[in-house]
Amino acid sequence: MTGQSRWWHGLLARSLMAVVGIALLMGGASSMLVSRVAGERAYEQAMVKLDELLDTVESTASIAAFVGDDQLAKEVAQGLMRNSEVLRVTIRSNDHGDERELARAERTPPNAGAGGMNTPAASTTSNKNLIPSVNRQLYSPFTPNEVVGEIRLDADQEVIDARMANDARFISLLLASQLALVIAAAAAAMLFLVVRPIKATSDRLHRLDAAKGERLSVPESHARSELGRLVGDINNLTARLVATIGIESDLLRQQVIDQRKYQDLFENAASGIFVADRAGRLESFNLAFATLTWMSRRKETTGRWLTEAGWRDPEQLLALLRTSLDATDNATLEEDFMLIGQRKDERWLQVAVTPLGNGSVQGIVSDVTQRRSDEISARQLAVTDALTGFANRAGLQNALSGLHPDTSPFALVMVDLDGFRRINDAMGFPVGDQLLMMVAERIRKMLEPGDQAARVGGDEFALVLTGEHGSAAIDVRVGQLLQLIGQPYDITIPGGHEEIDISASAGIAFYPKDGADLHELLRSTELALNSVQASGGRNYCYFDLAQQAAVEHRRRLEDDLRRALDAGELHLVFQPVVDLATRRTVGAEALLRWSHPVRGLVSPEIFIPLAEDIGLIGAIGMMVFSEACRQVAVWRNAGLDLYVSINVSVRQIPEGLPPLTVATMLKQHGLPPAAVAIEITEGVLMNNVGAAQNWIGSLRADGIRVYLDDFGTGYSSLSYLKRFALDTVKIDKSFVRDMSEDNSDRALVDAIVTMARSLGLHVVAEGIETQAQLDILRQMGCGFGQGYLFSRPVKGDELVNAIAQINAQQAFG
Amino acid sequence: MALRTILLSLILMLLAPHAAADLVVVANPKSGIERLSQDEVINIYLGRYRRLASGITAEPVDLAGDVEQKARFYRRLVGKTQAEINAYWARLIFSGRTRPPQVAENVEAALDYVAARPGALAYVERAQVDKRVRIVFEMGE
Repeated sequence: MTGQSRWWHGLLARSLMAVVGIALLMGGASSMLVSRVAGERAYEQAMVKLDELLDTVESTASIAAFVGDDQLAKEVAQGLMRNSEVLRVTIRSNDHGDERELARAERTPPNAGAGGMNTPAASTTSNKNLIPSVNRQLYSPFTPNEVVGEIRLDADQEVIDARMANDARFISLLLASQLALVIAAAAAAMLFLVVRPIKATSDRLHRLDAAKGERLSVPESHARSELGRLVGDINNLTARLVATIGIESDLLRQQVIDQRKYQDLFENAASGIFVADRAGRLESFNLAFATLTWMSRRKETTGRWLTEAGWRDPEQLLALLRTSLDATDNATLEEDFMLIGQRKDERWLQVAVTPLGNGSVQGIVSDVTQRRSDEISARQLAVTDALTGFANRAGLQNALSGLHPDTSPFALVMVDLDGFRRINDAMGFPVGDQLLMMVAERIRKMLEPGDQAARVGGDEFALVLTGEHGSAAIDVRVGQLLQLIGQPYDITIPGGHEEIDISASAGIAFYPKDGADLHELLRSTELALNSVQASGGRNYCYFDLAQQAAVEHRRRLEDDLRRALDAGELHLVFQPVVDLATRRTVGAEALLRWSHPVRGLVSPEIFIPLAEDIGLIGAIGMMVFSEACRQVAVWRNAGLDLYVSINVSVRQIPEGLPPLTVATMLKQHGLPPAAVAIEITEGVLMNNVGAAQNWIGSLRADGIRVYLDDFGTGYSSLSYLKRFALDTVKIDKSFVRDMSEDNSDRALVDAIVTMARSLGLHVVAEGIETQAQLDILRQMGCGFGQGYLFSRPVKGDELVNAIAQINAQQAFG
Repeated sequence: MALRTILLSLILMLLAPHAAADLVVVANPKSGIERLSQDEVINIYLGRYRRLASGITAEPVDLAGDVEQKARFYRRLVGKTQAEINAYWARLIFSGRTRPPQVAENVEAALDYVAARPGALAYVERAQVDKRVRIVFEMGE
């Protein structure tokens, strides 16, 4: 700035120039005005002078005119000519229209004589415009109204002009000197009042370092002037500027840090990140992206293409980009793509793309190879039996899902290991699993190409046998298979080997004859298998119509059972329970009977499983419980101190017979908890242990006793039962029936009774039919019993008679 | 004599008030002038006209000295005092072109002069008019 400024850029010079300019303009204008005014004044003065002159000579002139005395007139005229302003005098007389010039005096213009060039005519034209002249009429000295002549005075223009110029010059000089003074004063004022303080402030501002907090000081005596305010404003502005610059630089620094952070994140992210346009041209990508896609990370990241990587389907990837860019919702789209490396190794990458809004997409790439393989193996697992490597039921379902009328006929063979569960229970699952694997190995050996094998249950294998499917061929193959499976197995057990023998049964059905789909085929083979097992196993059998008929029979029975409940065909009978020591009847077990209108009495062993299968057990169970309560209430009201024990199916626990409902029913019939005992089977304790425990606990908390029915037929040990809070075990009638001197069943019963006693449990022996059995049981210390020896089950209202007979027997006994 | 004149004038005025106040301008009967207007009398007496309308050179006669009749004449004619009339003539005398009227010592001399010269004029009392002259202008009061 200083380098380019000239003196005329300065404030002082400029304002002075302005002042001088204005002064010159004004001076010029006013001097013009002044000279004009001066001219007019000079003119007026000349006129006045002429008038005055005329006044002095008027009377004389009028006398001269009156008498027509040209001598006198001439004297008057010459007298007037002595005044320098007067150029010419003319006196005329007028006597009643007789006009004549009396006298004329005229000054010779000074130029006219000297130059000789100017004629009088020329001189008159030169000041033709403004010759001030005075005409005055001369009146008769004696008759005031009579005009007797005229006198005319012409002024000398040059004299007037000269005087005028003189005046003007003087005034202009005066004005000029005044202006000069004013300019000087203004300049001094400007210099000292404005320019100096501004220059000082400006110089200071020039050297000011605002960042160090320096501020301008207000020039002396300018605290309240515009300059002072300017300095104040500059200081405020500076302060704000410095503050803003501070904030700005902080922001910039933060931005740089953020940028670096982002760059670090971008570069060091585990996920691959790229930005690409619609055509797949990469705008940028990070190291992880290059690593994941096996792309060389050359220095330049521009001009690279997404499709450089070995995508198996690059077109699909580009389609994803296009879809993302064309979508209107800015949503992130993701898809898995396979990458094939140079050594044919495969990698699955998940690419998630989000449109950035500028026509390009950002993509996040992660390696999902592990997930993909997990998914594949999970799918595999879902259809594969892990133990044997055969298909599982779902796998078999898949394999046979496409059955249609044109499918070649085949045989489905269901193989079941006889008594496998006993081995499993006795020797543990590891042994069972080992056995199953070895069985599967033997099955696999005899499979032919096109055959399939599946493990469809714990010890059930389903084989699809294609090829020859005539009965003869199947006979041979299944016969061989069963024979093969029946060979002894050498099982590794902890601490050595054990040889196990196991047999197998098989049921066979043909497609499409015995079933249109897998479900029907499986049911057919199950029926065939059931019939084999019913006859002792170790054999195979074809599905046939008899089995079909049995199925039909069962189905009809189901229908009948549904009706039976509503029709009241189900009813209860009661078998007394006797205190063996006193032969006193203490209670009765309620037993369900079905009087079928056509078939007569149907065994509970048939219809109870049926009811469980078809979901009728809940309703039946409630009916049984309610009816038993009603009956025992009748007895107790009649003065008989009896309880009733009610069988509860595993399917009823716990929702089918909630403890709350039990309590409510007892209350309805006015029964104490001791009036009822619940009988459950071991199955209850095997299934859903936690729920069963809670259920039993609730009932016992209400004071209701819980009996374990059919003890000994299952596999549970007494010590296992200890975990359940039970009151009484009932020994199954099969043990009691076979019990005699010195056999194992007797020892078993003895052990049960002994152990039950030691566990604080009561024992009820079922199926006591002979006095000998009774004696043995009494000898063992078995507390209670029931059976035909005492009474067969009777209707409720016949129980009194039955008790009477028992009491009578006692009397005999 | 002055006292006498004044006394006489007073007596005259008392005795014949009409006659005493009546000034007339008389001319020679041969002048060819029958009547003069007041303007003509003024112009002739104050030097403007040097000839009469008939072409004869006008010769007005003034009375000498400061006489009452002269003062009355000029007062009545142009409303000016004798001093003013004298001042008037003083300016013209310097040029030498125009001369004041002839001066007669008295009225009789004036009448004589008129009677003797055809272009002469004089102002007299009506009572002083004789047969030798002709009244051409009568001054009203």
